[in-house]
Amino acid sequence: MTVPRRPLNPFPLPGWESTPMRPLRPWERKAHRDYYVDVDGAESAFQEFQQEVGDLTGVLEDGRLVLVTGDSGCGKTALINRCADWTVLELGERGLRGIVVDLTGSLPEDEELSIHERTAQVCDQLFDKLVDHGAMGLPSAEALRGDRDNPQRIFPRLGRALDEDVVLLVLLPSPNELLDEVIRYARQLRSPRVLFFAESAFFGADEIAELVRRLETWVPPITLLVGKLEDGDPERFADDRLLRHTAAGTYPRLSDQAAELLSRICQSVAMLQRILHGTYERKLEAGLSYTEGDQVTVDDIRAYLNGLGMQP
Amino acid sequence: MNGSDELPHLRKNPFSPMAVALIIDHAEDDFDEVDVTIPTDAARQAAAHLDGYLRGEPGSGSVLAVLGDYGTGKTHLAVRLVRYARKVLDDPSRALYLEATAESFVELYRRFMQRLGRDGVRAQVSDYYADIVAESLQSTGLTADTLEWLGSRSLEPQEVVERLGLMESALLRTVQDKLRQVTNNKDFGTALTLLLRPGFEHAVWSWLLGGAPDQVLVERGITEPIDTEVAALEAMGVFALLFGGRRRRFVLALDELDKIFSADSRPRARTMAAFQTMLQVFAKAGACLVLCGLPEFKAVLSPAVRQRIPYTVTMSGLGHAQVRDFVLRAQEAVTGVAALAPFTPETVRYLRDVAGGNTRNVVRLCHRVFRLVDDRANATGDPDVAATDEMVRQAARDLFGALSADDLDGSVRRLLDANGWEYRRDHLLGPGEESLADFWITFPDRDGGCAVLVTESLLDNADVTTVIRRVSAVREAEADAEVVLLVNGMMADGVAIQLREPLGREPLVYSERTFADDFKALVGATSAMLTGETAQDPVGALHQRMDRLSRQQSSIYGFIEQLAEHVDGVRTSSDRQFSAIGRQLALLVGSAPAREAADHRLPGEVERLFRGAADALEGLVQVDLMLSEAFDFAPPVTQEAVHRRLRTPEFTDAATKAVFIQKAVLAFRGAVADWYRSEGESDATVSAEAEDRLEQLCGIYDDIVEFLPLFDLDPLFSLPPWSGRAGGLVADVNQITRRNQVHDALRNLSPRVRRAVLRASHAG
Repeated sequence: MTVPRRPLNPFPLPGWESTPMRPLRPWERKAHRDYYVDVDGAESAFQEFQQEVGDLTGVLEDGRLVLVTGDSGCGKTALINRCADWTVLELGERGLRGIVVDLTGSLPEDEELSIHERTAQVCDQLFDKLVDHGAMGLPSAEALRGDRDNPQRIFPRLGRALDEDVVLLVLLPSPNELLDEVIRYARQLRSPRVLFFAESAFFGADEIAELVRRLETWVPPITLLVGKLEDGDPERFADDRLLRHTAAGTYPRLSDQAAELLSRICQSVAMLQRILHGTYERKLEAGLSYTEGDQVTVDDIRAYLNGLGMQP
Repeated sequence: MNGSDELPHLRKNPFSPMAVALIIDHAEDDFDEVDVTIPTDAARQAAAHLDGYLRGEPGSGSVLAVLGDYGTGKTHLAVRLVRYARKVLDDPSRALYLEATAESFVELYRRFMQRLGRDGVRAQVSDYYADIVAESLQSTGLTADTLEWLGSRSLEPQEVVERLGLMESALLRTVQDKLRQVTNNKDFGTALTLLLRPGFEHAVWSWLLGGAPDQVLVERGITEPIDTEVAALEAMGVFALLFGGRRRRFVLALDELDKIFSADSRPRARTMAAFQTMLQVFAKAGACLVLCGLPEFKAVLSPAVRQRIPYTVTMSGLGHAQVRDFVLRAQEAVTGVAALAPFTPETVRYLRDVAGGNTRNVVRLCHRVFRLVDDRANATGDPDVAATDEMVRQAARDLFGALSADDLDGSVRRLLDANGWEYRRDHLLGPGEESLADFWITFPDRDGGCAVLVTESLLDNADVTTVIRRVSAVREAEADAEVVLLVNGMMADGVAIQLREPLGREPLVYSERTFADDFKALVGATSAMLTGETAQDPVGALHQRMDRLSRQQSSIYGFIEQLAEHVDGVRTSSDRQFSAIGRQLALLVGSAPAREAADHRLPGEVERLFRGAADALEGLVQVDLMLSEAFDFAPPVTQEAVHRRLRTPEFTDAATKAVFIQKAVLAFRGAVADWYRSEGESDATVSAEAEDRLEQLCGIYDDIVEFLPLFDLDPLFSLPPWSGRAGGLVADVNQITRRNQVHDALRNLSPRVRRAVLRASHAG
């Protein structure tokens, strides 16, 4: 006897039903690996990363910084998470242990700090995480403890302090418009076996060019760009999610007009996810016309945008 | 019998003791109902000009200058213009009144920013953001309701961006580009956009208030503070562009600009150029700038700046009919009946002449005369006592007694000494008493001399006759005498003309602001008019010149020596001073009003007003300090100084009144604090009922201090303050300054408090 399929919203990630806007995080949740869809140019950016990193020799010998740029909602975080996950897998194949330390939320939100203060806070919190992850032996940890909030003293010494099989992947808080901070990590704070990931929605082509120029005599950063949704991206994304969960539950299809509308108005994958999830959720909560035979129409999308979800 | 039965009944005085008559006539305005308006041509012109701006096509800016002497109603006109603009624009943040309190645009700019307020600026920036978000949504044709909510600000743009998952970074970049373009300034474009992001507010706001840029701003390219005149003017232009942008109107009235643009402190060329640029920017921004000041302010401006002020209205004195109209309206506002009584048509005419048509003086005289009539009615039991010319004169003497005779004497002597002129004090030129010159100044190689005759207010024919007799007696005794008549008080209209012929010039009415320059110029001119030897011996001339220089120098040395003694005295008594300060602080902390004050903090500006008033009085009286020092086993010389003060009835009478005023100020403060408590410190706008109660509190304070006029404190100014009694000449020099400080802190206290409270509430 089969369990009857219940109506469901096909757009949240498994286990994250209440937080539909969280980016994919495969290095933490392996199930997410299959959820990547080639939108916003993210696939080619990922391939560029793989190519740049190559056999990881550069990372192991000198350390490296990866900077992902692109506007808000274009999938920068998801790309970084994918790159980190892939790197950990690659390291594993070489008998090395990749440890991902996520410090993206390590800075206060209600008070902006200077670059000096920011790097000090990141460094301080990194130290605890390294200890928690068992990334270095006790003597090394004790040797570094006194300088735990001094990035100049900690970061460059990490290569020697980390256990021999450990490679560190540090997800940095977004430098936003602070090019100097990126340069600081790439130049002064780099260390063998440490791969920094940073993302920013504030750097344009000019800033990237300046970054590359200022670092050209050092280890060059890997810069990746994700962009706006391109033709076919919205359909590809919606189709993936709508096909993926057919076994798990029932839900309406997306009408052609609705898909066409989404292509027209959605600039980023985040906006697409927001509207699709919201529209389906609204329809699901209404409890009517939510079968496989039904369709989500332009009117449903309009109703979501102008309706409950937006009321002041 | 209780106390109140023993006291005579006093009528409500319809005239403000602070002389806050507003002189604008606008048929449909419903401004502050307590304001009594007198239509004047200048006010009508200004109102019409503003109206043209407010109702015209948005985008074209305007600059209007309002010029006039002290007390002619510039401030009230400016305030009314701003209120009118707020009403028409239906937005208080789009019309601001600002007065220059210091000689710098930096300070004016800071006050401007505080007036705009952090929330006001952020709201403005947020409007730009909302426009940009709305624009990005418009292309979808989807979200009509959202656009409406955005437009009405029922939804913040950040919320819309968040809920729809819009591309925030791209939108913020557009805002930054827009703000850079609007303000034509990269730093402001950057800083203002940062206000839309969390975590930057404090850093941005303190930079906008003139502070050094925080490191987080430096790292974003903002490296220069707004702390120069040029930067401050540029910044004001930026905000005109910001507020006047989006085809909106913005009105800024800058009052008392003569404090910045005066002949004494002429701004540098760069500042003048920056001021010119600011005028251009305001015009470009489609904003309206109202510049108010003494007539001299415009004269100080460079021709290029003057060219950019296309409209000027000059406040003139009130005519007889306007004063009569004012009396009728003021009484109607209080009693409901537009009656002239207790004034008569004759006293109104006379009062206007005594006041010279000066609006502030007209109102103050009306207030005082009304009180004198009431006192007389209570004394005689006759309710129909009418105002008389004599009452007007008495009121004028009470109110406008300018300086004490000793003060004026000191001022004249200092000027004569400083200029090295040879003079004699109380010099009898002929046989009769009337030929007595208060000062007789002689000049080398000149026959005769200059007789300075000092007189009190010249209000009627008897005063004029007395003066003419004195002038004639001087002339009879010394045919070659030039006469300078110095009026220590007021001069009724028409008197100057009567005296021009016998004097050969107009009398000089003492005015603290201009006296030194006017007196010097006048005495210099008289010396030139005296006949003398034409072929002067060059050696003799040099000798005389050296003598004069030597006198000037010795006068300066004398002053420096006394200053040095004073400084030594301060140094040697520093320990005692510290202990006195300690005691003073202890008294302050321990006193009930201080405790009350600590109970509830008032908004900054309101607190400053009360503290300023209380401190000014404390500094003046220093009774607590004096008594405390006496009981601190002070040496006999100190004990004697205490006794000497307390033996002087003028001191004790005046000190008593000062203490009463101080208590009244503190009680007023307590009442305002209670008012705040009852308002619950809510952010909501003050209700009409609350505003009424505040108004009543102000009225109660005014009614109390009406019986404690500031001129009753005059004896306290002639004594040095207790803590500075060893200062000698230094304290003496400061008398006028001290009086001005006390008067500045207390005059019009209640309307200033009321304005500050309402302003703070609106800002909250």
